Amino acid sequence: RRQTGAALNSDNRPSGAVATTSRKALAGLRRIDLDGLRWRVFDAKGQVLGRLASQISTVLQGKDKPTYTPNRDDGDMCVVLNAKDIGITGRKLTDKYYRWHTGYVGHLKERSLKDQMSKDPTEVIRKAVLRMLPRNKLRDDRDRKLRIFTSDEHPFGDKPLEPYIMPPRQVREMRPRARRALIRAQKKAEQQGVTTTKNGKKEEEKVELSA
Amino acid sequence: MTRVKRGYIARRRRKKFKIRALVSAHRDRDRQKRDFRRLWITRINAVIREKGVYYNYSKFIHDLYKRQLLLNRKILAQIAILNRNCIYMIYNEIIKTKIRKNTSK
Repeated sequence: RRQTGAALNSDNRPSGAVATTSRKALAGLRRIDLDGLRWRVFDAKGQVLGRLASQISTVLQGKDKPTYTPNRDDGDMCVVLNAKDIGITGRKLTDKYYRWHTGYVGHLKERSLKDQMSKDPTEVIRKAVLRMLPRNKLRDDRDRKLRIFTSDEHPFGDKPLEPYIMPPRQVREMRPRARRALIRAQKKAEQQGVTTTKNGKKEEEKVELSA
Repeated sequence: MTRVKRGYIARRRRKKFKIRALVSAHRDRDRQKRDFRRLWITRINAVIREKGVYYNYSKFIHDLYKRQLLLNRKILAQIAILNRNCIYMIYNEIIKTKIRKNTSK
């Protein structure tokens, strides 16, 4: 609401567009005890949703450390950037639905991935990671260690951040029909010269498939 | 109704809990062996995965057996925590023989 030039308020709290997200982001930090933890940064740009979420969940649980103990939460703080640029394969953008029941009879609500991304892209990754964590008493603490941001900016600039390098992936070869469709789309784009938005989007999806 | 002393009832209740405690202790002594082995395997896996792409616990154990090293998982896990370089030395030893075998073939 307030239009201030500086990124920080008078009492050193961030203001402006970064404010609401970062206030939420800095919110539970006091509850996390140990600071022998590392701050790992995941860049979600171009990564496939589930594969990224699986790596995040192993890091969150602390399973990449030799001092892993199942009864105590020792995972690193995970910061995920560029949540809106996450990659989705197949037809999941339109066909994947998040469903929940409100408790009242007949009130099964659903929302497609596309709508969820337009509403709040961080929820997509958060749900994916949370559902990969083991359902025990440590799950909420692990959720508190996970911070997701839609774009590149985050209020954790002063912490010692380490980028996480994703392990290389064996990309599956494209199915023949999909490949033929991709070639057709490319040929059409070359013929037309200037790509319209619809064609551009289709090519983007197909390119993500082969990436 | 004759009065039943409270201690009598309490003693019988404690016997029930004592039995349950004994039973779970007995059962968990066997489970403890399983649990610890799981923990060691997870820890070794964590350290070994840092070594290279597509290298994980299963391959490590396979190479260990091929090389006929009889270190068990408990010791490996302890080495992994306390003395990280030692695990890397073991790993290098194993990899050396693998590379030699590959090139000789």
